[in-house]
Amino acid sequence: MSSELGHLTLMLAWLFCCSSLLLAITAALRSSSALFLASTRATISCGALLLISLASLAGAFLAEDYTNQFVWQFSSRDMPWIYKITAVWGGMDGSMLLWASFLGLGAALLAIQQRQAKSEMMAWVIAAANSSTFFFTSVTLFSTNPFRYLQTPIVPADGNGLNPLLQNPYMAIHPPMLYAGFTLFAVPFAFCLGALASGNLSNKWIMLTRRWTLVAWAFLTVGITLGGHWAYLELGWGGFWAWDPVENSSFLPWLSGTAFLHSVMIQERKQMLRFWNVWLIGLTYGLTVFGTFLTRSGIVQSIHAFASTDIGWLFLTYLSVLAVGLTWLSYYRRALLRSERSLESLLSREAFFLFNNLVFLSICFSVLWGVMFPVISEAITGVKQTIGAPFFNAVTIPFFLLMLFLMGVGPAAAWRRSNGRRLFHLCATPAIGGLAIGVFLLIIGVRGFYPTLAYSLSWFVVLSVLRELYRAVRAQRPTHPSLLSATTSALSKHHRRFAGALVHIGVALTAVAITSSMAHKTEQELSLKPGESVTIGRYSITLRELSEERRPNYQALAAHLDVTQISNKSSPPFSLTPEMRRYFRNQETTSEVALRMDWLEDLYIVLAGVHGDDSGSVALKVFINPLQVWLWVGVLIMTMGTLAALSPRAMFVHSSEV
Amino acid sequence: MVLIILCLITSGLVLWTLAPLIRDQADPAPFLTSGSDEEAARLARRSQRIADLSADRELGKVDEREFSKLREED
Repeated sequence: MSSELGHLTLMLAWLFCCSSLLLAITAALRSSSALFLASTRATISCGALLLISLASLAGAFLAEDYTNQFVWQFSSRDMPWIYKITAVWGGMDGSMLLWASFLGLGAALLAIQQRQAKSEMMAWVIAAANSSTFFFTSVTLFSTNPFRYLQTPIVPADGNGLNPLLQNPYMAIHPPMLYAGFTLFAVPFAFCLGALASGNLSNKWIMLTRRWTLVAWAFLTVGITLGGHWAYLELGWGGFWAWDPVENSSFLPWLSGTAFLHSVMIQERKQMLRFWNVWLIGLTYGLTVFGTFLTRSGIVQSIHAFASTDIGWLFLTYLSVLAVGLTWLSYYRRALLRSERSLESLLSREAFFLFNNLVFLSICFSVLWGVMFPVISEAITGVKQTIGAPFFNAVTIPFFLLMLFLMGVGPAAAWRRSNGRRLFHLCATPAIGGLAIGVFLLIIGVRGFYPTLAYSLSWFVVLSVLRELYRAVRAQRPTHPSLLSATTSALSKHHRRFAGALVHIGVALTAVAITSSMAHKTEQELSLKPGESVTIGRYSITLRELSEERRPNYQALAAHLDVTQISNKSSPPFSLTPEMRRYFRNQETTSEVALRMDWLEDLYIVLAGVHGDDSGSVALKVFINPLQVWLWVGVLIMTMGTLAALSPRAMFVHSSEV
Repeated sequence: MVLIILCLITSGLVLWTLAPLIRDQADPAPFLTSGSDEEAARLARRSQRIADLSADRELGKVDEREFSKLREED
């Protein structure tokens, strides 16, 4: 019943979406308020029906409805309920419905927010938002429908089961967060198209989309990080980012979206970069669709990719239509897209924002080239050449370091133009601090040019933020005698600035953690018999015993390890239990990592196998990843900074208030 | 039962969507505005520039002389 309900509501949502699209376009062409209001209501109805459809699919999974082909293919009776929900986006059909639902929800929120706006621009914005929902809903309904019946005369007693790698709590939350980030970028893009179509290219669309962009960026950041954490815990290679094509395809819109977040500030204040911003948000939305194309077309090989399907050409056509449409509109409105002002000085805040944009886009196009190179090389030479992590690291690390440098210097520059001597003076103390850290690290034996530079620049960024805070607090002291009230006043007065600064601190912390875990990682493969011990780093690891256990949907082989810290005798010993799991349903074997997180380092152990002899010895892979936990903390701080930049009325500022 | 509820919900949504158009026949709603107010936008931009300049002075990024000069140019 759930499947039938889902199918019906999906069809109704598609009809409402078509109506809303037509109503919004007619409203804009006829300048009719009544048609506009009707289009917003149809949009809200479409969003609600898509959510019901999604909930129905989840209901079909929970009800173990194996008449549904998708449910049968991706779940089984022995799966815990949380993984039955996870299975909704475990395959392509369900993930397309999730995407369409989130687009519908985003458009509905937009319609609720702007239903009183009644401007021509908003009618075009609603039309543009619905066009995205229309495309994804059409693909879901006509090509990847998750409500199709299983074509067998008898209903199977059980399903195929979900890929064991996806049976991880992070998979319950990572894809929805990532998709929320992708789909929310459709809203700023809709505003951009609406502004272009209506010819209202003042700063209004930029002001109205700022918070949508921030929320989209926060979701995407958290989504990517959760994906990294899942890879860290589940894939058992000791890392969190492998520059896999699918990982890269989520990183690409993040890079262009971050560039957009910065460049809109220049348009907001200086009425510059109008053309640039239109293309930047177009690129960001285009890259989210491109990522979907990559994962669904089967043109790239990846552990994350869905099976090769025939919907790749649909996405390619959609991308082409978007590119042609945006090109035509920006050409048509070229006179209105001209900047009101030009760059006054290279030593100005706007110039540093521009450099920052160039760095982000350089990273973006380097990664894009790395992703597409195997495809291009195969098309030209007939031989598929793969590009791995060394290429991406070699190309992107210098850009990331340059970005850190700009994060330290940029905020010290004044708008319009800075006095070179004053800028130097403002940067001197943080720069000396950063340099001192570099020298200190060299003295204590840290080697490597890039790691040392990365630590120095990260510290430079943190000190730059502290210097800014110090000056802001000092300016408040005459009117606020207590330090606490002066700090509160400074933070509240420069609310947006320090919210951004908090994000920068998070980025600096993340940079330190990534550098440390990459450059100073310890990795060792070893064999242990029960009762044997080995010393790695500051840990003594003893294999106590091996055990086998039957659990609801798999058989587990566990190595029980006792670990003591040699350097710190007072620290209590602890146990770690890496496992190998054999899932009954599809007979797949996975490794379950044992992880001990610490503020200083992670001890990460993988049970790689059991030796065939009768000794009972096991093969273990042991990784020690320094400062790894600070990567997750850094992203948490970045998210907190982004949330701080949003006021409580974040998503519901009416256009007339701007 | 579920189908009946779905039919009722759909009918409600259709009526709710069409209500503004039906109402418009009896009492035409005003036209959509162009949505742009250049003068208000210009004033908003000017006050933003002044706020930025004051913040830069407060944070020590421009001194008094530069502040006066930039303020004058504004």
